Amino acid sequence: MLAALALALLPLLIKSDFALTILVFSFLLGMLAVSFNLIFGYTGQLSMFHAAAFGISAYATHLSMSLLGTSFWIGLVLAALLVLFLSVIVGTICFRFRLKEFYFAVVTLAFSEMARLIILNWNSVTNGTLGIILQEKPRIWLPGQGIVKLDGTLMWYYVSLIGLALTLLVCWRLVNSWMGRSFAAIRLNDELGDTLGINVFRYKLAAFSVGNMIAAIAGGLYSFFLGSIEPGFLSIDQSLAIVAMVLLGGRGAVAAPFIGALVLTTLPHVIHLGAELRTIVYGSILIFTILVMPQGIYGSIAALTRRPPHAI
Amino acid sequence: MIEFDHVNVHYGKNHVLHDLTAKIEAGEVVALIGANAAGKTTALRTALGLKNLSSGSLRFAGEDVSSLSTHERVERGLILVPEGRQVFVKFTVTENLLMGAYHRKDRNKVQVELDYVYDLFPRLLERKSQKAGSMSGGEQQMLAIGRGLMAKPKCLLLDEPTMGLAPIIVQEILTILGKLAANGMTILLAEQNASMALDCASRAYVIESGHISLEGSSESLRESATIKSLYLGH
Repeated sequence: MLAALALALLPLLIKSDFALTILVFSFLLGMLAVSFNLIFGYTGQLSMFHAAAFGISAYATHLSMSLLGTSFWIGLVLAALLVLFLSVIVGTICFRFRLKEFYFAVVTLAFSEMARLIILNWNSVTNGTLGIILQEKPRIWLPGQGIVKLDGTLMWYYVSLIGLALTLLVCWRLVNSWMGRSFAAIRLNDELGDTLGINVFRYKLAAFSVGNMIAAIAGGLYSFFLGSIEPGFLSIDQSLAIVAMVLLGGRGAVAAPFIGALVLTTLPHVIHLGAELRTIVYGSILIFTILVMPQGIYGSIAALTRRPPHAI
Repeated sequence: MIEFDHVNVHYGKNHVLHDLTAKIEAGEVVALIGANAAGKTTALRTALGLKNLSSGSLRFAGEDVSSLSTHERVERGLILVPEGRQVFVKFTVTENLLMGAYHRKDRNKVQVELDYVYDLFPRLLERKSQKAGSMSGGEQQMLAIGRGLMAKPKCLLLDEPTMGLAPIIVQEILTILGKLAANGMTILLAEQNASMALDCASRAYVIESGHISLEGSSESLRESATIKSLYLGH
């Protein structure tokens, strides 16, 4: 709560457009990481479809605006619904056949690559490798000013902060409900969950769909803030970057992956090195963190501030 | 209460249960006795729908449940306590117990059952905020049984509840089963330990390689020559 207030007031202190831009990207990628953790950290399913949900929605939002003439927000809702539809198909195939762990990761990766290849090669609609430049700006209603273009970093800062806050709220409510308990039960021992009468299929599908829909909303916002879309949004690199954010930030709390998103988004801008060298430094930090802090940054801090538990 | 009617089950090409026919009346404690790999666990898992029937049918409380999914059977009060003291090791004792009431519509009003379980197993009350993984095997088994009771079962399927436990804990669990039986609980108890199972149950089925080879009251089985030589060791 305090952190939220601090973030809301932060722009009063930070006037640098550069710093605010990094924060906007961190918030949007934070939505992606937090929603991924619902599927990965809480329900225990290593989905490789998250970047696909993010990228498909970016394209779908734009296409809905250019082909159907909808507004940005209607386009975003349609894109999220499209992602929901795809999630139900992919999820039903995976969970009906009880694919787990690496098998689940590989099959979702295959679906994700399928989507990327379609986008890469459907030149007439997606402009292939070159991607699309987005010049339109979403419009929002502001008290006192009526409907205005969403322009300038400060406005994006608040829109993305609200997006992140809503994501955290939705995930927090889910995790701290009976549904969240069944997610945990599925992660810990899904056969036992079955025995207790938990509809394992339904809850896996629920976590997968809700997570992907949040990724879809993040994708639409991200592409319009960035001002372009390219097939790289759906790449394996992007999927792995999301996994890295969650591992670095931590899986144990709803907001923990945001820490990972913040660090991994800021780091390349703080360390000024050549591109190759930067990747090496970045990779080394990641390996080091995973070896030394398997619980992520959040987990390590929590462990320091908490009395050791009664027993392991 | 529960009725297996010519149930056949396969694992791939392996024919595991052959024409299993058995019937447990309401309020009865019935044992299913057999050696390792005789088909006891498969029979219980089939009852719950964790394993599909190849042929035959299964009735529970007067209803054919053969085609129902596991969670639908659990909702009807058919509860399995699986073998090997399965609990959620990272959940606390209370959280584990609450998972037992998961399917209940009134799952937010389970204080009565929680008190009942803690009353039956005072050890669990002492450890209610402890992680289940940090408890002894016997305590985990008590937790698994307690979790089954949280579901308000009409019929409790117990899969080797005393396997690998110290004799004193076995006694404790048997006492609890006795109490449950006295309260009118219907129990199907799968056991390797024939003498213990016969003490507990009023009737028993003996299962060998997926066939029911013998059935009868506990007294008559105790006197049977086959049982004596094969299972009781005298």
